[in-house]
Amino acid sequence: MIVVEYFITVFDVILWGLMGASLGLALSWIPGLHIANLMILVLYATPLFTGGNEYAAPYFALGAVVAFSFMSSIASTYLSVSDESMMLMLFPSQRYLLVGRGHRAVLLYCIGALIGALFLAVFMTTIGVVVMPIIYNLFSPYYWFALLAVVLFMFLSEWPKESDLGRSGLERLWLAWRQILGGLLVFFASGVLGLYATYSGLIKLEVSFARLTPLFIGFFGLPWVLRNIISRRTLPAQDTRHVVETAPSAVINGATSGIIGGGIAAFFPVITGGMGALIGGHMASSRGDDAFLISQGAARTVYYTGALFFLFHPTMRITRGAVAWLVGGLYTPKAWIEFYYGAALIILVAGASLLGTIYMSKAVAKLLTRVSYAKISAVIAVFLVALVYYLTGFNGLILLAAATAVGFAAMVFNTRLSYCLGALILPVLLNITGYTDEALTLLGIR
Amino acid sequence: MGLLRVLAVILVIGGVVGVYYAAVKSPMPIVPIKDLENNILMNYATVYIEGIVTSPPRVDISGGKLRLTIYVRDNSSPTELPIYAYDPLASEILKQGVDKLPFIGDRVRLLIQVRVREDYTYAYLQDARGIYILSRPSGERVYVDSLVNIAQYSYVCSKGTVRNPRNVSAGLLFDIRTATGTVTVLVPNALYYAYSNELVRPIVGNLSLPGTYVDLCGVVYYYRETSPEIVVRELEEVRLPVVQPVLFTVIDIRDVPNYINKDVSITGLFYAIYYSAGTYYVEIRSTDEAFAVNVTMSRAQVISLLNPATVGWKTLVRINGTVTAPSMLRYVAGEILEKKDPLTVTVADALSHPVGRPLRIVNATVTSSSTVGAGNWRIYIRDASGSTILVFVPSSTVSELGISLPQPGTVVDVAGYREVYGGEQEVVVISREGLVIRG
Repeated sequence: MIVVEYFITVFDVILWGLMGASLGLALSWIPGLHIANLMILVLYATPLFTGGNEYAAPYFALGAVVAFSFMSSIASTYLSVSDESMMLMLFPSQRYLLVGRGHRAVLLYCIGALIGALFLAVFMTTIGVVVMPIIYNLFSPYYWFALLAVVLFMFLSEWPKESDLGRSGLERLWLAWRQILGGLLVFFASGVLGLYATYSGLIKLEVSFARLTPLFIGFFGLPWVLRNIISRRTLPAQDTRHVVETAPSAVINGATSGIIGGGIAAFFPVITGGMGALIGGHMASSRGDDAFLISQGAARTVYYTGALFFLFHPTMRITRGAVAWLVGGLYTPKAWIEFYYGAALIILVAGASLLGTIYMSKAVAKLLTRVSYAKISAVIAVFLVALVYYLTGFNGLILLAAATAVGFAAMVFNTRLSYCLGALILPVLLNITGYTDEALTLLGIR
Repeated sequence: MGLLRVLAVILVIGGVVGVYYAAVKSPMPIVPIKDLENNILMNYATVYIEGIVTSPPRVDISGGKLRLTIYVRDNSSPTELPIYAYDPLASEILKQGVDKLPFIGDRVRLLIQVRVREDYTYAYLQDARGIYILSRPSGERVYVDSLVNIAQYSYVCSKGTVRNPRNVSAGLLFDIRTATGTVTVLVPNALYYAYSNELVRPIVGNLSLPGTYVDLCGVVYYYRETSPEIVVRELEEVRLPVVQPVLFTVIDIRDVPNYINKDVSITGLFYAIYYSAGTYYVEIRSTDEAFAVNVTMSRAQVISLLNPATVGWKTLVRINGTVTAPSMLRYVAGEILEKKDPLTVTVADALSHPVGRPLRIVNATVTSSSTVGAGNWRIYIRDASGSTILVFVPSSTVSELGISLPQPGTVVDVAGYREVYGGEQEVVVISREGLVIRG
């Protein structure tokens, strides 16, 4: 057995990584449980598993994050269901589900996630060792221009739609701009909530790191769960055979766009996987639901895992994403051997997560066709509300309610959910442009 | 679907309004620094802290952007919390001038966002209006000749000639050669950004020239907790001579007659003080005491450089000045090179010393005293030697003493120079340190 600095052994790394992966797999299927929220739970749980050994934290977290990258596809596929009238506006994963092929959507996603994980581990330990520090030094002064460009791109890419459906000019104008205006409403309302959560005493200081938890659960989880309860939907029987319909070119195209998008999101602060995937999709000119699902898997894995794995790079010294900030506060890997351990762990946990996700998908697909979908959603809703209350108290519930309204608006205006990330982006944009003062005064908290 | 959209908009507005009411009732708390340190759950917390700024603000370029750095400590933790502001906030703060710039010694309340790393904690300033200067060191202009035993964050002034100026990362560092010591001064580079170029350039330019006479005030900072220095807080607190700095040719004191109307720098022994018609003539002798020149000085200049109460006979000095006659210089600047303590003598000895000799008499008893003319004091003293001498305290010194005329029986220390006036032997006291009441 190889014994290295800080008394970390191969056995320790595997043990801690698999324990983190187990926790990640056990929790990541719950909708709305963003990785940052999940990490808070992981953080609370880490000492239980590792006996308080701080050197374990990075590997424990890395295992949990890789597992999350795979297993979160269960929530986005099975637990954010719409109805048939929305068929043309849905994500491919939801379309797959409504025709009984949810499991295939998960499989396509997992193909992308596996390729993303393998690429990340191989690239970072070979070319990335030399290239990444150079890229970091090259781009670091211009991060904020990239962020601004991405936000503009998000809005500009929402080309006016349905403009030919109206009976009068005014109606056509409204129909054309309805979705974009809805997007603006969601973006700025999210931003305002983000400012209140960040710059007021709403959230208890002891859990400052969870200040965005009510918002993320409200934006991305609760609206879908509530909709499931209200609509009392039933799902068609799901085909749970391990079969996918795709082509090698779609796999390559999807994986490439996902890796580009995930890479951009991992590298540039505040830009998230969804935003990165949007850019990556345009860059790789992705077409087709299968390529889209593969790209999502690759993008999310490269984004979440890559952002944390930067922390392991001994010469880059950058901290990206909520998970890395949490882990970095406990222990930051410093030696090359720790970096290589991390890369190997990514591959190991990716394999385990692939198996876990596939069988979880199969189980959930069967469960949802037998047990009341509304009841499962109700249980999840109670869990999410309880979690918010436990972490952030009564004020957190107020934030959760407001964020749920915003998430609901995103749903009914059929805008991109990523506009909800205005909660992160708007405060940062105000900060870098020097308008935080004015905004806080306007919001009555200065 | 249309109704749902209307409902969604109403819910969003209602939600934001609800959060607004909750937020205004939950003001940002003031948090002890101890609660932030090494607490990863406080990562990204936006809070107020309150404490003392412990070092001069520093400005540098980091990641291609202007960065302002300050350090704050409160009573809760022995550790300083580094706090950064990057552009555009850094420029905004500096643009608002020194009134908004947290400075060493200031008690401040700051709105910050916390970052917790494995082995240290730091924070980012959030906005300019989140900076509250609660109090800052101030007071009367107390002049010091050295910073020994002066408490950190004291507000003090000093004057003398600039020596050894050097640019350091924190700003312009130089020494002031005062009458009896050396004071280190830092002009922090944050001031370069807080003031316009038109104001900064001439002042920093002058302070970068060795030999410039300067009178300045600032806050005492113990660099690395051991080396005290005055940190200039406002450029308005720096007073420079109105004349342009000149270069002084270093010459041997014996060559003075050859440099009429030239600016020279000489070295010699402080030998005597004479007074005539409002001007003091300080005699400087060559080190072998064979050659002497007189340096014309104002009272303030004499007290600043060669106060008889603190600087002794035969102290080695450098004098910069203009040669106005074969053995006469007009003083511009000076410094002590090798200090001697004042020559302490008995009254009997004092009477035997020649006119002009700077000296000190200790533990003498006042035998009689009176006020004459426009507030001058005449005080007769006697000591254990049994002799008596007149101490003359001119009104200019009396006005600075802040005491009433010593009455017979009072024990005093006296320092000044020997003089004979109207046939009477006397010691003239020209500085407030020259008359000390013992009891």
